[in-house]
Amino acid sequence: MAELKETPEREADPGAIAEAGLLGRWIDKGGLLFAIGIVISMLVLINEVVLRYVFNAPTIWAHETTIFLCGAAFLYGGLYCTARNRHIRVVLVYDAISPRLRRGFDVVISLVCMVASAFFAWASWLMVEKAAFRPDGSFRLERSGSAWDPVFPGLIKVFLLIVMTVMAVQFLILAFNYARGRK
Amino acid sequence: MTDFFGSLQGLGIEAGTLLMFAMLLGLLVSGIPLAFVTLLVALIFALGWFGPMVVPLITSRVYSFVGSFVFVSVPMFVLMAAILDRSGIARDLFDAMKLLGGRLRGGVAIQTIVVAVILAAMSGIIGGEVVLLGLVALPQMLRLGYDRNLAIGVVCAGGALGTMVPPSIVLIIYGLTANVSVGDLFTAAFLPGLMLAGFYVAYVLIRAYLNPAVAPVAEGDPVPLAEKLRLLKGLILPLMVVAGVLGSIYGGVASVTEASAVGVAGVLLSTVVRGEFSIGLLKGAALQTLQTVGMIVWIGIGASALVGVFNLMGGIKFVSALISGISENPTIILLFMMLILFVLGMFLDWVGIALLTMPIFVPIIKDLGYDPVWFGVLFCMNMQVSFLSPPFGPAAFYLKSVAPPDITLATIFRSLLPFIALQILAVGILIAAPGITGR
Repeated sequence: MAELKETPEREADPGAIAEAGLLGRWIDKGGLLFAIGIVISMLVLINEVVLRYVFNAPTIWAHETTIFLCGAAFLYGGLYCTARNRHIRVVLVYDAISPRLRRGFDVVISLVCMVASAFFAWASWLMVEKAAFRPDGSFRLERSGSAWDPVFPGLIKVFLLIVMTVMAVQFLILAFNYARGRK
Repeated sequence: MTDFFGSLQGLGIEAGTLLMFAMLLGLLVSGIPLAFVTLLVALIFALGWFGPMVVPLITSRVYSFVGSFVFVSVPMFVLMAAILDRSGIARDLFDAMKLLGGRLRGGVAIQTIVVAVILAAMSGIIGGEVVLLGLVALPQMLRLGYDRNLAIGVVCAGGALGTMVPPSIVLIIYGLTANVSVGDLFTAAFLPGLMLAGFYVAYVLIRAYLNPAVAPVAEGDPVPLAEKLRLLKGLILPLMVVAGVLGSIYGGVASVTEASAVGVAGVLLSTVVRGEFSIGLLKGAALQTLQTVGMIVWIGIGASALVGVFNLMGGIKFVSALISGISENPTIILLFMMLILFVLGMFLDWVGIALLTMPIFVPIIKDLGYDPVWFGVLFCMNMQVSFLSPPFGPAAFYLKSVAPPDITLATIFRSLLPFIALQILAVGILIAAPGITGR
């Protein structure tokens, strides 16, 4: 059974789709940073398990750090899927129509998604106004209020705003490039 | 614009719910990603039904959704599966299991199911498993002259077990939505998962003994002892990882999230021991994880926003009353829910189904006096069907991506029908005999 021993061929990673443009390629590259974040949170959790059960000395920062790292990765993951066109959708009609019509669909779909993202960017701005500024307008990030009290809640909320804004721009670029029909 | 705020409320909850469903359906069928359909509809209704003052409620729901500690286990289990996919662990496991299959009729098919169960006990997602089994087990069964439909069915149904045998991402997401302990869910799902795998094994045996032509016995010399020992080594690492993950959850040593990290470390260490580890492998696996959790989480973000708004509108109460009102008999209501889940499962992804329907179904289930943990296992079993059912059963598409070109999607879906029947049988048994979950 020699032929079974070889590692199965993996498809080369497709990366960002061509229509996502330069921004899409940046988003694709930036994914590595957040992927590393996921690996680091794994290490933090292991570290915590060992410290707690072997040395009986749990930390106060492990819990919140992993939530922060993974939360940032969750949010960025949406952007990453947008640039790679990997969001889950129902392709019942989409697959059945002609390529010409499909291009039209691509433009409209991207525009609708842009509206949704822009809308949500505005919604997250309402949240950031409270999480990043004092009532008098001076800058102060919201803290978690735990014993360690990191600024993670404030950071995640600001990051949500950034992700939604960039996502809206990305969808606009996608719509534009689909409309031009250029790869 | 301000005219629009609150204007939809005049519709009343019946028409409002109908309008929301129509919008969801229309936007979804046109091919817009589920995450953005739900986000858009949520925001339209938030503004149209109430006005800007409820928008912070949506964003805070989204924020608490991404900030949950239990949810951290999702990227961990996905990462574990991604590393597993890239290593030779599963292939060696399959070879080692050859000893078990031996000269039994249908031996390779049963070997495939056993390997699938062990892989399922290591990770909690499907996709990778179907692909792995499709690459390793399918060619071998086809070469031995197994009935093609049987071989395809075993690979897809076996691969789908990934989310039925604990740990399982489906159960984690259910636990988060329904607010029940994920550890309890894992404990309760253990026997039902094995039961389903047992059905598959029984089906293979019955087919093979009724008609020996569908599963010829492998010809060949008996395996020498030294070879047997060498093959058995392939079993050690996976079983240690399974023991580490499930042991720490069931033993109460670690939380589900911590156990998931232990699992990642275990698989990672295994690749180091096997000399397969490289930075490239870890990088590829981590990036794939980012993409997969991106898909899952964003469906969750959209669904959580939508459910929040719908709840505030009083829609959940309305739909609950509607569903509860169809019959006095709780079993009929339960079967009706199962029917809804089956139909949704044909078209929608399980994450979307879980997050959109469970906030409605679980309170009804509790009102009827059923156990929400048992219902979670039932839901999970139901989603097994959604992985295989046409036209969008993901397991079929995963297999298609690695199967020989002459195996078409139509062939795959036809092969899956008997296995779907077995899954439905398992759903029925879970309803008839809830005791299987140990609750």
